[in-house]
Amino acid sequence: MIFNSLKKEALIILSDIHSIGVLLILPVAFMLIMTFAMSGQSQDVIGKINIKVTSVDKNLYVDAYQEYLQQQGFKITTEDKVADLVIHLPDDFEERLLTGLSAKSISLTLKASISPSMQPTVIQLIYAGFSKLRLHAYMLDSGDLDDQTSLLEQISQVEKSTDVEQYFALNIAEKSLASPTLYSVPSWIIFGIYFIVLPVSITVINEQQNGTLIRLKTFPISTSHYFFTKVSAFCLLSTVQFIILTLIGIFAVPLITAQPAITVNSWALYTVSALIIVISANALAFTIAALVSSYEQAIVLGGGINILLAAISGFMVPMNIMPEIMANIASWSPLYWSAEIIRATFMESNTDLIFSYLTNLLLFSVISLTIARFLFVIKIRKLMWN
Amino acid sequence: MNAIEIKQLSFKYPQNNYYSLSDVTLNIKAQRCTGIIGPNGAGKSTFISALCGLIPNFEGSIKYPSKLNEHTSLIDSVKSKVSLVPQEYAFYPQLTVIQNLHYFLSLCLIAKNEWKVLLDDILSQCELSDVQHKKAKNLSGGYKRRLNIAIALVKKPDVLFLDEPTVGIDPESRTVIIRLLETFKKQGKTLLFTSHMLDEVEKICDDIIVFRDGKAKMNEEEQQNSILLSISFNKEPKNNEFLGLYEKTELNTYQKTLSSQAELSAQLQLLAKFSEQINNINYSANSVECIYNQTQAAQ
Repeated sequence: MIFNSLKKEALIILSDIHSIGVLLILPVAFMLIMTFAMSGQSQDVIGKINIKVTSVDKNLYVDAYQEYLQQQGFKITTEDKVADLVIHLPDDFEERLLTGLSAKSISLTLKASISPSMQPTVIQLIYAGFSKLRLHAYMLDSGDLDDQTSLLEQISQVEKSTDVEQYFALNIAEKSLASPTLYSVPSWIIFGIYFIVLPVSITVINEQQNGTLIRLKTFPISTSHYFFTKVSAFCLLSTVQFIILTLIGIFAVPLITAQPAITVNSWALYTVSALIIVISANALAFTIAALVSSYEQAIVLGGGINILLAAISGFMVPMNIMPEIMANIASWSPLYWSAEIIRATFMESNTDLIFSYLTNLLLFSVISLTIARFLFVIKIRKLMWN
Repeated sequence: MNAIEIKQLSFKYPQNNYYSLSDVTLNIKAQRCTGIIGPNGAGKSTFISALCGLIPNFEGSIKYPSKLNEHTSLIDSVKSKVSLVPQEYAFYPQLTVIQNLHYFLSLCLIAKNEWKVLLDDILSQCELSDVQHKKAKNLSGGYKRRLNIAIALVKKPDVLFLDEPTVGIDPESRTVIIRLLETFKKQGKTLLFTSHMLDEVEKICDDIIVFRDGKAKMNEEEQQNSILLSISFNKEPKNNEFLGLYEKTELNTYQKTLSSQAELSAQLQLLAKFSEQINNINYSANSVECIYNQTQAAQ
């Protein structure tokens, strides 16, 4: 019976392009997009920013400042239309650069083309350029720079004096641990797995609306038996989905995004974790499916809850930039537990954390399945002829 | 033998202050086809829901007598003997005909070695063999109706409830389905079906239950073959003792159901004595439409 049920559900899902999209294409697309977004491409972004520097007088320091900004990676422009950022220097800029400029005398105007997430980085780089300019002025004043040399030579000398990179030895313990794939792959595998809520809800609503459930009431099978057979069939489908997403996440995504490979430390632990996550995702899915009674409700409640849980679990916005209260809420989300378990199996396994979250998920599954079965039985009991 | 025995069945939905079924007592005879007719909201659906165990708290009793006389609950009787054919296409459109049948068969307690014979038999009876590998969603309306019926057959039911099985299909498919229902009757299955098409009910059904305001009136085959005699007088007749056996339907109008042509002749001879007082005499075969109209008028 489970085989026939599995075959039925698989054929229904495979014949529905939307279900395949939700279960496989959507999470894979997010894995790639988020990995690319987190791959430290900020330098490329800086290189695309055009800065216009305006001042009443043209003098050495204005030219030098533009040079320092170029050294930071920005492009300099003289056209208002293409400028993403305008720096307006005060009239007494040259005279008071060393003696002390008035507070807020330099105005910075950022256009909307610079994303909010990039703004702090851009501003810090502009401040750094200005610090170098002041050092430049100080070195000229103290005679450490030869004013007879060209501006570019002077700048080169200042850059050499401020180059501190040589004093740091950068060690990343395991490069793969700092990889963006380690954050995006577990999150979007889990997002895809919990999206089983949509096919489950839509199947139950279809069966309710076309009279299949009422017909099944006269078949020699109890409601509970039917319910658990259906849950088992969907769990098997989710397991296949988990395997596909894992293979794509571990092998294809690092390759496509040119990121370090992900390794699973213990496949046995990964398998057990995957099975518990699959049960938990289906438990949540069947609870929602038993609650909703129309396609609209299934999409809003099923899809909405999944997206909301993903958002508060740090899938879309990193947890470390969330307000503390939101981060605390996330620690109660089954999606967060699931993603953390998978992430932990990719890293040096923190088995205490894994077992703690697995226990949470098991408890969540038992409670959800009990509620789902109860609601499902009531739903079936209310069905009447026509 | 009775397939279903219903005694004093009453039911009121919690949200209503009237009974949707009111003191319904009747027996559904086994191996016959019973039509259930009545206007919308008369209680047909509630009646079938009750017979299928879909209503938990009704008053009265419903029994599916068994040959072994063992005591079984209504739900158990329904699960072992009854199949429903809803008006909607209650199957999976994404699956083929045979995949649908396999799935529903897997829910029944039938040994796997019997499946092939049973499926071949169902496919051939419902004339679905040619389209067994076609997806259900690609079938025509008539084939979909047949698949709807075929699925009900996988549990080998004794009693089949059908909700308007011929609605929305072409005349050719309708003929196939009516032929199919007649085959079921010959096979000894008990059929109950609801329909608004009275000519169809008349053609297929042996017995008819007419519903009105939650009350049911059973009209068995014998009553349907009878003759309805209706007399209209120009004023209230004198010496009208013989009219005591007639039912007064309107002012100065009486009617009586007669069981044979001989009885009709005898009554017409008797009425000849009152010819001056008689305005009009009508007699006609007691059609389903007559039964339906009489029941609606009487109630």
